[in-house]
Amino acid sequence: MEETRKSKTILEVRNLNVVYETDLETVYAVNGVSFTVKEGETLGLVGETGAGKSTTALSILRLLAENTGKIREGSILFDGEDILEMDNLALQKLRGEDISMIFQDPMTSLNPVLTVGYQIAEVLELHNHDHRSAKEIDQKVEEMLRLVGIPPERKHEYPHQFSGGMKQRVVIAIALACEPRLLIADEPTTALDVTIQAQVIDMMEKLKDRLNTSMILITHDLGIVAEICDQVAIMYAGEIIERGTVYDIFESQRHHPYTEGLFGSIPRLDDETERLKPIKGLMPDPTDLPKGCKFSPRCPQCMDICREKRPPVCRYGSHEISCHLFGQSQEHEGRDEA
Amino acid sequence: MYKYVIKRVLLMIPVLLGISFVVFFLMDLTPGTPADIIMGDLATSEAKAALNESLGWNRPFIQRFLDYIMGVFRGDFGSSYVSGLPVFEELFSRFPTTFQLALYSMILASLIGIPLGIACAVKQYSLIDSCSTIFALIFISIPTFWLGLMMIILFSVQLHWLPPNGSETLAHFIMPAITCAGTTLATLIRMTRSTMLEVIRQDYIRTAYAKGATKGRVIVNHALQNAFIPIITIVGVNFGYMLGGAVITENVFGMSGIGNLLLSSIRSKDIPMVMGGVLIVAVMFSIVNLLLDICYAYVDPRVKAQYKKGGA
Repeated sequence: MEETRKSKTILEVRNLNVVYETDLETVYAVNGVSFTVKEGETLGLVGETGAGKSTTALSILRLLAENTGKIREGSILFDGEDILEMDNLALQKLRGEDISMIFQDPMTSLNPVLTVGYQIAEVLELHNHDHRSAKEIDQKVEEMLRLVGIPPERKHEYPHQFSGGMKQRVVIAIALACEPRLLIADEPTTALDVTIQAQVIDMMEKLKDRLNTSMILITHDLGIVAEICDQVAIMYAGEIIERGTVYDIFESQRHHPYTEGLFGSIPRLDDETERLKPIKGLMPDPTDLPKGCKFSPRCPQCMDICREKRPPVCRYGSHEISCHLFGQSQEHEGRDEA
Repeated sequence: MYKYVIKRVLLMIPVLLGISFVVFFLMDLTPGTPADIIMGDLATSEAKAALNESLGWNRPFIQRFLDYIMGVFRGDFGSSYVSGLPVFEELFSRFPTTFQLALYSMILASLIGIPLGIACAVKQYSLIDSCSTIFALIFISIPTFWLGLMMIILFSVQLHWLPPNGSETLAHFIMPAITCAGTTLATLIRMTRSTMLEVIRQDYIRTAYAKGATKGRVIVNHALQNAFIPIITIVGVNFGYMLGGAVITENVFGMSGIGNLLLSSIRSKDIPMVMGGVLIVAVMFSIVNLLLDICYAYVDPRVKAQYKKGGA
């Protein structure tokens, strides 16, 4: 039963290209990203700061900065319907009700001049298809607060009266109030300290299971990925360079050199090494990306071909790696210079 | 909150004392005695000396200052050296003109400036944005007296629509209010625009959009209140200034407001009048500032929490 439920694709992102354009420069933030999310499934989007994770997430809700962020190419199908083609009305219905988002920084994502109760009630009022009365909405607000572990009496208080962890719970309550089908969590625990992180992750897991919500979890914390994700996509310089199930990413022998670098940057208790092995160099300048493989300038196993041609996608079952190291004989999907 | 207001009102007393001292001292430094002003050039020096003696002019500065302050506490602001009328009466016959002028210009500036500023921010780089930028630039660059004179030529001399001077009816206030509002209007447009632009880039605005709110709802329910603190500051401070009299506007339109009165009193070294005028301006300014601070508390719950804690 589990399998049949999970088989339905809820979100499909195809060849997404996003740029930030200003008069001075063009930042190539997302370059041909494709992935799918199935019902009830959690996809982990992993990568360094600036890899294009948040941009990808914001594109799904069409929340990119109005004047600069532009989706150049691609499609984002939600339930078969292209979000990029939607008009404002359809978008407003989609946002908050079908897809909702938990933002990175709980300190700034709540409006400081409105009570938390109002901010939770607002999303319910905006998607009030059952014509709930003000009192019923109020009850639902209290229910949501209880669900995230905040005493309902505190609904009349303002965000500044809450701690960081509690603010993030309020944000989660807002995101889950309409029981969305897809939840996008953009580094939901980065701004929180470790004990609160565990609580928040635990709570999100429980709520997700209860409501059978699909989730895209954006993070750079591989521990959290191992804990709650079903699928993992690793992003580098606006591309997905490796993708697979949690098992593929954590257990497989074959990896993209960047993924190996990522894992090498985590301290291990069972290893005697004195120092961590960070990936040498910096992310490429997104206004001037390298030709060929974007990771080639930092790659310890870089070959001549890496600097010239974009790597093909090599498939091993559910595991996909975009790297020249892995057999040319595999199925080719990589295009030449874009 | 009440505690805070009382504290602020009490704090006004030392401020007013300080202002009185400085102005009293400055007036004392200027040459001439009261008798010169009251009796004119024709009086004998004996008569002048006698009058100065009876006014207490020959006593030490500090003693005269304390006498004046004690008088103020009793409600006696003295009499004008020039007209001989009680200062208090003179000021309060002028105050309604100044107050009306300030009120009308602020209403005018707010009603046009704030919505225009919001529109500019919401539709950044649009036609309305560039047009109002130019509009604001023009208004901030035009000298007040020139604008006033040009309006008189057009609306009074040529078209005969509005009276050129006086302050009897509402029609008399139309041109002065526009003249006075100009600079504030320009500041308000630019300030509202930049504040709103800053606010609509905040994360909580994105959160509101992510909930599925319409643009209008986001602007009105989420952005506006957050942008209000700098906006009401400009409105309040400018209102405070204008209550001190708009000297140029009053002069151009021949209005008998506080600004004109103060200016002529300073020229003629009419000490009681200057002191009375400065005190009333200072009191008004303090009251407006206090009202502003109270407004902040209603706009921003964080400020309110601070007041409750008793901090300033």
